[in-house]
Amino acid sequence: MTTLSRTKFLALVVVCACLNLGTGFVVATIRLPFYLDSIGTVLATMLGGVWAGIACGLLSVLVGTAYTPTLWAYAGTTVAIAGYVAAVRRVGYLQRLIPTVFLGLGLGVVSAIVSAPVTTFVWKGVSFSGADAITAFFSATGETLLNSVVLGGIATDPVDKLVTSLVVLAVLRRLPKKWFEKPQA
Amino acid sequence: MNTSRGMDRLLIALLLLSSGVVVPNLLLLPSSVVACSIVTIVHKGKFVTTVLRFLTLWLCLYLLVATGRYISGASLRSLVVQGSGSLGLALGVSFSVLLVVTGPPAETLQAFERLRVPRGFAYALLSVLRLLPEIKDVGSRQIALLELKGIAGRGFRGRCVAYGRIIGPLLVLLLERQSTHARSLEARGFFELRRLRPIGRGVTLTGRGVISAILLLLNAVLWCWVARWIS
Repeated sequence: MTTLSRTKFLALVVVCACLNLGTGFVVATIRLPFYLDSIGTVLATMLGGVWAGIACGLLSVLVGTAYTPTLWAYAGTTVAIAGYVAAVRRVGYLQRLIPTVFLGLGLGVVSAIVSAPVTTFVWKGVSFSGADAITAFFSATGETLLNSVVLGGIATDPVDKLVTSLVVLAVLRRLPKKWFEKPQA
Repeated sequence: MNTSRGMDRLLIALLLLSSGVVVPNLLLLPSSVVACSIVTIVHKGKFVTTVLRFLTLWLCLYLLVATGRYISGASLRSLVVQGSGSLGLALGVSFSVLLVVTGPPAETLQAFERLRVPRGFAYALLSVLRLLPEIKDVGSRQIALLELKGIAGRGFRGRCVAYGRIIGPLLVLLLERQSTHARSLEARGFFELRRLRPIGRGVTLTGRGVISAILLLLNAVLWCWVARWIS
């Protein structure tokens, strides 16, 4: 492993973690109805591989916990997002529009399913976001808490992750080619 | 640069993290108030803003979780006495990170180095913490600019366009800053430097650090005892 590749790996992880956290701030300020808090993780996985994505996600969770105390419990979700992106990049995800749309929706479903047990068992169904209203609706219809959280997540996460995927696709198309050389972890 | 002060900070962060997990639910509030007061007094009020922010955060979080649990049938007594590892961990991690964030980065990096934490991890953590305020600053300026032009406020479409116009400059800023950082790191041989003395030899604490560590330990023990006495 050369020093250059290690430095590049770290730079990529830092940039993408900052993008994760900074985008959250921008989205909250301009009042967009999305979270868009995994743009950095997806971008890092695309540019640096699965380890860069995982490192970026975990770093974002660690720093983000200082501002949002419940975030630490979702560390597994960021790992799952990085794993999913690394797995589906070979079938055209974030390279062509149509696969990006469908696999972006799939990313939302994966994210909702992985987050649901955490929200259910650690936070008793409260995710401190707009999805809580949908969870309460499903809960009122007689579904179990876990099912309600999963359904609430599936109702909101795919749209968020679709927008995330489209933003990352737009960013990737504008980045210089040298950033696509994969650094080693 | 004082490595011992960085080490103090890490030790206190670790103690706060563990006391967050050990002390049960509602007793976390008085326990945290005492812990924060200890840290603030011993370190001459340097953490006041951090402490206030942290306590507000914790109170909101606790009230949300407690309300949810009370509605779903938990007794008031259990809300006070029963432990909630997740809430405590949220509290502990949050406060520990805030404590490390408010310290001088060079001291923290040296302290991490003494504890044999990988240099890359310490560097990445401190870089993110250093870049975040800049990102917020640039983001706020861009939003103000777009509002002046009348783009940001025009419904959902306007907000999406505003987002698209902000994310570009943000990414450029980040890439520019990190490229400069990476080049300077390589030029100085950051990753080729030999490690400092092994763990144990270079680990020193200041008197204040030792005093606050002992007081924090006593504080955690006291609140655990109070919980046992109540139950």
